[in-house]
Parts: sequence; structure tokens; C-alpha cells
Amino acid sequence: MMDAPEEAAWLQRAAEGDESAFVLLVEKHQDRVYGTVARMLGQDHVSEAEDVAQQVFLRVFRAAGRYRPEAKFTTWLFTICRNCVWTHLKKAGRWHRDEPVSGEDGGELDPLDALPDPEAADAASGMLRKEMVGTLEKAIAELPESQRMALILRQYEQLDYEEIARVLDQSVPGVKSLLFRARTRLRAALDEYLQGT
Amino acid sequence: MSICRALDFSATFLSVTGFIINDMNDKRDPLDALLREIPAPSTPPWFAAKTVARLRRERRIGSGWRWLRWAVPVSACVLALLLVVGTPHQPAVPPRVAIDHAVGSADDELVAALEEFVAYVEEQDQWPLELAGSSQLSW
Repeated sequence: MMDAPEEAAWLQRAAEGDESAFVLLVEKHQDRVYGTVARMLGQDHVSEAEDVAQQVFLRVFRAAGRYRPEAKFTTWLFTICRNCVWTHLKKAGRWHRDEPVSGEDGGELDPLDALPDPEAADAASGMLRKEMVGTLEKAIAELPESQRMALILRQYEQLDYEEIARVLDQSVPGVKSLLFRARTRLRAALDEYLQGT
Repeated sequence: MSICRALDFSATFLSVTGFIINDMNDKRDPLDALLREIPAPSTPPWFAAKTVARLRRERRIGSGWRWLRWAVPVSACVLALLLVVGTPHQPAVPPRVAIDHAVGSADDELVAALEEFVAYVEEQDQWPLELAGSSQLSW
């Protein structure tokens, strides 16, 4: 189960107060943690990402003695990351209610079918694509936290369903459902944008 | 025939469901292509240094208050010891018994004195004539 023995060794040293081991850990995982936190907080609150990502690593340092090498390090790290982001969003009063999607897009035409191919794009379609990416970013920021976290961990961190399930404390079918609902919402947001243009 | 159709339908349904649910990360999905175009947040170059500095600061503050961890139980122990040592000792007998005992002692002394007086008077055989004028009596 252990994915990286060096992390376990670093954590053990960090638990004994060795700061150099902690530095190694931060340098190796800062992009993943910062990226996940920044995406979770959204582009409007990216300035808060640094503080929250630092909190994640400080918690890692404090909890280093409790880490068991049987557990996968990334799962443990992203679980701490999730807790810090959840706490921050709740404190900031930006916690979404995780409500089920009423209408699903089954059987309907995919709005993205009309999307121009990026390789054959001219200036106008390039602009449209850029705007759609912006719309997508906003739609991601409006997703309920569990859906957003599942999407980020799957899409950008390439975690498998089992890992995401452990991070989010859900079942694997639950994670698949979260991802399905997240993507449905994103498609709906893009559909709405395309119909408006 | 109908069983074959049912099986065929089930297989189609499962494959479609599997495509929808399991193949989320299909690279051909236009949504994935768009999601990949969202620029990745870049970690500030000073992030690691600031994190370590913050850790040092918090550890320093933590160690500054570490004495409090010992001060509380030690203070509690000292207080408990003071309470035990400093409390005046309680009387050996309950107050009520002590009063009764005191009254009983006074009565005994009085009776003894009266008896001594009576004996003295009888001894002198001057009762009661010389009693009033007697100046030798003393309590």
C-alpha cells in the first residue's frame, strides 16, 4: 500500500523534530497541495490558498508521529488537505450545500459537441474556447465541495476512485456518483453559456 | 429469443452505464479537454521557505507556552498540599458532646464543693447559726 518509502522516512524524522526532512516533504508535494487548495478555493480567492496550503503542511508536521506507513501517503496528505479546506470554507461562510442535481443530461445533446477543435481553431473560435474555459472555472467554483474535490483529485491529481473514496470518506460508488453529478453540472453550465451566446 | 434480447439489452445498458460512470477520464471527452485548458495554479517560489518559517515561529511560540503545561498540574498539587497542611485540626469530639462534657464537669465540681461544704459544717457542728458569720468559707 505504501507508495513512497521516502515519505515515511521523512515523516518519521519530522516527528522527531527534524526540519530538514519537513522541507524535503514540502518541496516535493507543494505543487499538488497548493494546486488542489487553489482550485478548491476558486480563482476569486486564490490569495487565501497560500495560507491554507501552509496550514496543511503544518498539520502534516504536527501529525507526523501518527502516520502509519501502511496507509498511502497521498491519501493521508489529501485527507488533511480536504480537512483544512473544509474548515477554511466553513469559517469564511462559503460552504455550499451538497444537494443532488435535479435534472440530468441523459439523452440530451452534449453542448460540447459544438465546441471547435482546438487544433483547427481560428481566432474567433479560440476566443470562444477561452470564454468557455472561464465559464468552466466559475462553474467548478460553484460546485458543492465534495463534488469539486472529487473532480479535482480525479482530473488533476489522477487519484483512483478508491483513493478519492478514502480522502472524502465515501464509498467508491459514492465517488463515481459525485463525479457524474459534477460533470453533469459543468455540462449544464456550458450549455447555458452556449445558449446565451 | 426473448432471453437473448434481454441479455443483449442488459449488456448494452451495462456498457453504456460503464462508459458514463467509469470512463470519466476519457481523454476524448471534450469536457476533459476543456478542463485541461484551465491554467494550473502556480505555487509561489517562496512557499517552502515561508512554510518553514511559519513552522519555526509556531514552534517557538509553542515552546514559550510549554511551561503552562507543567504549571497547571504543579499548581494544583501545591494547592491541594496547602489545603491539607494548612487546615486547622478539627476537635476530636463533636461540638455537642464537648458541651455536654463541659456541663457535666461543672456539675461535678459544684457537687463536690457542696459536699465538702456540708461536711465542713457538720464537722464544725455549728449549723446553721454560725453559718452567716463564717468568714472562713471560700469557694
